[in-house]
Amino acid sequence: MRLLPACRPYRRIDMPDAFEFLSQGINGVVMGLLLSTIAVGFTLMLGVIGIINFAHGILFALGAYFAFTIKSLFGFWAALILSPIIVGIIGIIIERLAIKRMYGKDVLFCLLLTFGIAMSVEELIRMVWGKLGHSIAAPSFVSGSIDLGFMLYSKYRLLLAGLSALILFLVWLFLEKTSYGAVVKAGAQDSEMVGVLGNNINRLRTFVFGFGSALAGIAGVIAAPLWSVRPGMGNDAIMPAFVIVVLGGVGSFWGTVIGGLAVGLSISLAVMFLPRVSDLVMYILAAVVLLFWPRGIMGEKSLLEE
Amino acid sequence: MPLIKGYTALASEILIYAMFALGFNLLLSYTGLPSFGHAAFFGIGAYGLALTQLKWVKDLWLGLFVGMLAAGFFAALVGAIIARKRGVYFALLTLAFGQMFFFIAFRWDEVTGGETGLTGFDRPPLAIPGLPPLNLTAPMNFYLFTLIVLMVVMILIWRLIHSPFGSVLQAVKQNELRAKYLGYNTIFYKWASFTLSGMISGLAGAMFALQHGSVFPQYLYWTESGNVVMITIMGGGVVNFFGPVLGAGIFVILQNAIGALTEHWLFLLGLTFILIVMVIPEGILGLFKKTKTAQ
Amino acid sequence: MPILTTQDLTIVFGGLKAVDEVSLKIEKGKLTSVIGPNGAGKTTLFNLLTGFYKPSSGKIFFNVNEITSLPVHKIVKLGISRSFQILKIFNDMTVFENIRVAVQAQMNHGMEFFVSRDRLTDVWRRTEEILEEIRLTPKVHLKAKNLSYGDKRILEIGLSLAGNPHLLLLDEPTSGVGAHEKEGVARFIHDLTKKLTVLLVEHNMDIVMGISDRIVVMHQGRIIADGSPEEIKNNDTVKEVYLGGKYCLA
Repeated sequence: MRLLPACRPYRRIDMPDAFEFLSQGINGVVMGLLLSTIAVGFTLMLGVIGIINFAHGILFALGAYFAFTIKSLFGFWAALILSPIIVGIIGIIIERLAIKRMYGKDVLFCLLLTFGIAMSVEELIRMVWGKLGHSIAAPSFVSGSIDLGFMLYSKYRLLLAGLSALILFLVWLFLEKTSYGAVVKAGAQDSEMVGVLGNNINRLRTFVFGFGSALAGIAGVIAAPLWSVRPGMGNDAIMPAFVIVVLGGVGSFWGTVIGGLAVGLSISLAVMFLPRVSDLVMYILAAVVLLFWPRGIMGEKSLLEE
Repeated sequence: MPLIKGYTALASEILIYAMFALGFNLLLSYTGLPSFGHAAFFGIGAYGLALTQLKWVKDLWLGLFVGMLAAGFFAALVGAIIARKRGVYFALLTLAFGQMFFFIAFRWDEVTGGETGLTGFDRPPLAIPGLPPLNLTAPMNFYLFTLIVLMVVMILIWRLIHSPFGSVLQAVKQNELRAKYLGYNTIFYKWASFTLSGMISGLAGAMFALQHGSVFPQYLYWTESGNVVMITIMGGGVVNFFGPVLGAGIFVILQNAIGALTEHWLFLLGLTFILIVMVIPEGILGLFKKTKTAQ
Repeated sequence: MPILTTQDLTIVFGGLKAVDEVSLKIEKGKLTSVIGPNGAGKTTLFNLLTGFYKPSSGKIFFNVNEITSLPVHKIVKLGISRSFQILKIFNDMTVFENIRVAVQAQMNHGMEFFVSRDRLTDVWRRTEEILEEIRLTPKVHLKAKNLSYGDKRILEIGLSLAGNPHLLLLDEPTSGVGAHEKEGVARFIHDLTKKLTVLLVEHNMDIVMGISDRIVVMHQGRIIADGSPEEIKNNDTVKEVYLGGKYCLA
């Protein structure tokens, strides 16, 4: 047995330093909040209406594209307000014309219908706005970095986190503190109950679809400066939305927030330590949760079961 | 996905998609399991063939077998994990695994060529005992070869569906619990169907790689999985054995014919699909089924 | 030698003991009924006995073999079969195909891939036999979903008989059957005991009293009484449990 020399250099593992860790951690939270915002509309639609809306990603994209157009005309704040409203209206139209014919049928029909819608609208986006992406500059007051004292961090990301948190807070307020919100929340957990309680189910579903679409839209607006605006951007939204719903449980607000943060943080951690696996991480999480805790962390609804 | 030049090549493309969809339909309509990740097996078959040609031996049968077996292997692996589930749970799991395979193809540059994929392999000649080898570069020869392979696959699937094994798959689809209570190990049957379906999709993928001489990670993306679901249902695969073939024909023709006129053919395809799902969910052949029973 | 024995069989759901230390010995060739108010644990017991639920504790023996942790399909292969209160038939298959796939399982042809199933003459013959026994031969080509409710019930029982079970668990087989047909079904069930052992869950007391050799009464997961129909009729605990309920033992 050979004795090792006392000061033989060992192979250094490339550990991130504390600042990199912190910066990526904050990135993870920012991303997580954005993803939760994307997913919250999706989970409400799934919970209350019982549909898997593949078109959620494309509504997100529409939000970004409308913002792009409106911003160049009227500025960022106008885009932030108007774009979700337009997307919400489009959502209502889609629901009235197409989705509602699928109620009562197997969930998979709706999946296929919304898949077709996503496909057509994505191409429509290419037709109207062109194949190549556009970049949206962040509003001037948040361009550049801010000095947090111990490190620099992107101002826009902080605003993004703030806006996401605000939107999530407003949704929470709606669900918890308003009477119609209570109906929506109850419906997200058990849609049959809501009908029994005498609420107009059709109007509720239309509302939730419109509301969920508007949420997708506003998520698209705030994500646009960070992710840039491309026709395929919806795919980057729909997949995490699925994963988050799986992780957090169907129709659960807090489940969505926790799920979103879980996804955001695992991606940013993976980017730090195992960058090549970072894309895979959320799917591995989803598969593991689906196999062992099918209802997710906080889900009560057994929609996914037969 | 690359466009086709020439009608013969178009016909081959239809046959290949038909094979993919038939394999997929075994799982969807005959076992009742919806998979939204089947493009992964198609892609694995394609990469299997490409890697065999580029890194091992330029041989037609070997390439096809490797593609098919690789796809079957991974389908068996995934199937073993998810066979206990069904319905939407099953679908979401296939979606998750499908995406995992996509990202492996996308990121594992050393093996898969990453984003730029694998190119530069030709169609090896087909060795026929007693005759000179057949050059498959000629579109007509390749078409005939593809046709024969498809015929064999179709006969095999047909026999499978009409065998005792096939009736168990039907039973599992219609009432899995009752099938268990008859003494069938339903999880095994679901796994077997998933694996076979994956193998057939892999064979189709390998043929596709031969057709195009290239493989890209895009072949495994979830939208391609969605396409095969769409093709199968559009043609009437839910009610008719030949539905997937019809659906493949419609898809490829739309893709290439409309694609030649406008680059926005996807818009029309999406609309077609929306209409079919809303008006004739049993697909085009489903229309004929209705008229038959009405008589 | 009892055909089925359980030892302190228990299952807990969310803190509640749905089946609570049930020790039972089912005699061969007899018809034993399990009765009790809703929620007493009867269907849960059936789910445990057939391997659909895994018990939290306790054991189950079929003849001399322990079957406690076996999966459903293995227990069925050993000779225990079951019919369901909510019909579980193959709706899109014809009556013939329904029974055939059941017979096929029993004759172990499920793994044959390439032979046409119409060629399995042994399966075909046995299928015809069973269809004769349950008197559905004239309706052989109808799709199961198009049968009358009564015929669907018969098909359900036919499916559970096709495997030649030694022990048959029937979960409310007369549920939804018209009053005039109930007696026929009851007699049919009673005649089954000539060939096999029957364990019956049933709410209709006339039937229970009329055809049972033995009655086991469950309440809140436990067995509270066990004996002949006469004994049960006069049992005070049983009367108390049913008092105020919709069941009449007279």
